[in-house]
Amino acid sequence: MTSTQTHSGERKPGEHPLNPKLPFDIKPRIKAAVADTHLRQSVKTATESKDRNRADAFRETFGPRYDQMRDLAGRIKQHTLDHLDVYLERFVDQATEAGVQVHYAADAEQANAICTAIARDNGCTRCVKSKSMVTEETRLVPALEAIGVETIETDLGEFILQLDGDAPSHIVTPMIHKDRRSVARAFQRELGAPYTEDPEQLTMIAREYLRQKYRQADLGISGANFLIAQTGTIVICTNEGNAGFTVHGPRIHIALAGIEKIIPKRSHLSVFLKLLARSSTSQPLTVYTTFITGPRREGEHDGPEQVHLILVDNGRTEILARSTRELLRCIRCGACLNTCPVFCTVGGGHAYGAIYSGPIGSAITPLFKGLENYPDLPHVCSLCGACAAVCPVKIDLPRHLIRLRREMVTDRITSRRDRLGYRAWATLLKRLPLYLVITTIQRYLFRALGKTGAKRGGFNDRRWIANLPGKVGGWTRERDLPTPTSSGFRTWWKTHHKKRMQPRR
Amino acid sequence: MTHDVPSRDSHNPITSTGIDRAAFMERVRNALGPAERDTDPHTHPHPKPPNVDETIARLAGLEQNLADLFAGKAQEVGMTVHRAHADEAASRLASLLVELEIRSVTLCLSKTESAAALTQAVRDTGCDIVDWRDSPNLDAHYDVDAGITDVDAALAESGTLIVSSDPHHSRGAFLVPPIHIAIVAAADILPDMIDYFSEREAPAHHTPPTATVFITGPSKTADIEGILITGVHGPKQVHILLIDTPPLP
Repeated sequence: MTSTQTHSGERKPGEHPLNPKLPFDIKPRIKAAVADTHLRQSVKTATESKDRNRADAFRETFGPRYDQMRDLAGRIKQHTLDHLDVYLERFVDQATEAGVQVHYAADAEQANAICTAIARDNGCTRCVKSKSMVTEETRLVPALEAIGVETIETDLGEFILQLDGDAPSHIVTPMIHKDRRSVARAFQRELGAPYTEDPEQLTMIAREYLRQKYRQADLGISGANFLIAQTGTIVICTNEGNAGFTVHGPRIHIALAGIEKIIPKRSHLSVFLKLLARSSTSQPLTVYTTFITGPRREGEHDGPEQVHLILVDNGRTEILARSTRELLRCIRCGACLNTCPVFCTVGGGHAYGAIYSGPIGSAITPLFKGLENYPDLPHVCSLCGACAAVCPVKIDLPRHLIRLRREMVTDRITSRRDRLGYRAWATLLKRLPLYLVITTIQRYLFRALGKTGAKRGGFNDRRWIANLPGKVGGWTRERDLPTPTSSGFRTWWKTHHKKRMQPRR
Repeated sequence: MTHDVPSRDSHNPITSTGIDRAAFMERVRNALGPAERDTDPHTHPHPKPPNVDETIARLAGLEQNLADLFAGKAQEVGMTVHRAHADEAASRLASLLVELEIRSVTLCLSKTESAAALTQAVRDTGCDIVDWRDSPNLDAHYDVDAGITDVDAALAESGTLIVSSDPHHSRGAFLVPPIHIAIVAAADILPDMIDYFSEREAPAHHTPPTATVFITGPSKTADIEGILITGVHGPKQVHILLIDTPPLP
């Protein structure tokens, strides 16, 4: 395959999975994801094993210090964000001194424009690119291909997705929703490779193909995991080594980075590197952690002639506001996705309709793209708190989702009908006599509906409702609804509370 | 494909390709707001970040046997460790080349004391030493059987090799050939990443190398159904020749 159109041209007609028509309606995608048993099973297996391995890795290495470690990481990030202007200025000074050409993009369009201008000015036609979430945000690849620069994603997962015209479904393992057969078909169709379902052979096909591309490339594009203010260094973490080929080989290297990637000093990496790979893939470190401080220097015999860094805002300065600043601590490890019961069930189907999925996606997508455009995301969460418990920089994700839910009501994004419902509910909870009347009626009504189930003795004399009528029937389609107990909580509390409160001898 | 990310920017001057530094920093400053900061950037431009608390972050210390710890961790992440006394290092390297049927290499040795002896040993096996200097796109490294490098340092906590670019060290030797052979002297091994970074605080290191790479295992992927495959882009095998000073167990 040599033509530049092949890559972007294969995309199926219809909406882009991560850039849907707005406002985004999540229901059809949830339905589709839940209906696909095979996909659901493979995503569940993958995320559950990652989550378990992460927990094991931290228990083994940090033991009881795990929580303090997360706390330290969170504090360093929060400090950096609180003084982001100072650290950004310092980073730019240092990077510039090292010979990096720094550019500033207020939004996605500008980031792409800067990138295409650099490519055009230097006559670049063949680009190899390593994984970068910010380039997914800006949709850089189509922008480069539009000016005739062949752009190849080199992360194996991203490469396969590119061949298939598909989009990533997980920030760390982008191809979590695809199996070996779809890879085999893509390689056969797009690369003319013999059909094989052996993952090792498939990987070797990609290796040979991509090695040709590395040798021919005149432009390498990467993201960044960290930017060190003290030295002006760009840090990139990969397991495959593709970022190395991308940044060391071609004569021009362009890195794109969100402004939140800054950390103050090199020594802070002792905290972040130890947390990042363990949180993502339970490794002590990613196989390659690459530090770039400027282009090739006098006397060196390889390395790029130019290194460009594009600092990208694209909505981040709005998240920098006090109430949401914490969200910019995120180091994109994916631990919250792997531990989230909702993501584990629907995550494979691009259900979140945005670049960032899972709990962190639900919290930041409405901020990037407008709450009115993603009204469902704050609600695809049971507030179980698992994400906050694993976040290596201690972002309190449930709190942010609750805040978004509140904003939906105050900003009247929630429908009038629902708002009335909430208001009635609040009124009810605030007036005890009314509450007692209503709950008593409700108890009798529900117990009358409860048909199945036997007395289990003691307090637990509840029955089960197998089918609720009308719209609420959705709840009982997959499970039974337990009825209230015969006596009610208040009665129970009164007797037990009294017993407890009696003075002991 | 049309671009549907709305531009939320309206008040800053925009050139055709981005905004200037002052305007960009102004956006950040405005977003932070003046009242909430504990220091004013104009009167106090050096905020103090939290220190790395070693009682929390340190994973390995000097009290441990660093060579053993390093060798164990390196093996855990999939690298092969060969240990040799300083006086037998050259012959051990030669036998390794024969064992792995390596007939051509790119070579980046200058840091270890035994660099000359090791280079001679490679030559004596009849192995072709390919000149990698000034080959565009790391081209010289694509057709050799192995890249041989020494290291800046190694980390015992994770079995990590640290290599850097300079006039004697290519960015391709540890990355492009199917096999990477790293020569590590026991004295190169630091307990923890913390020690590496604190060493780098010295004035001599104020300008870091243009490229430094921490290598912790062979090139890996698990993108296809979570099955671990090595050698996806870079080396399939990483061999470490660990030169111990006697006594060896």
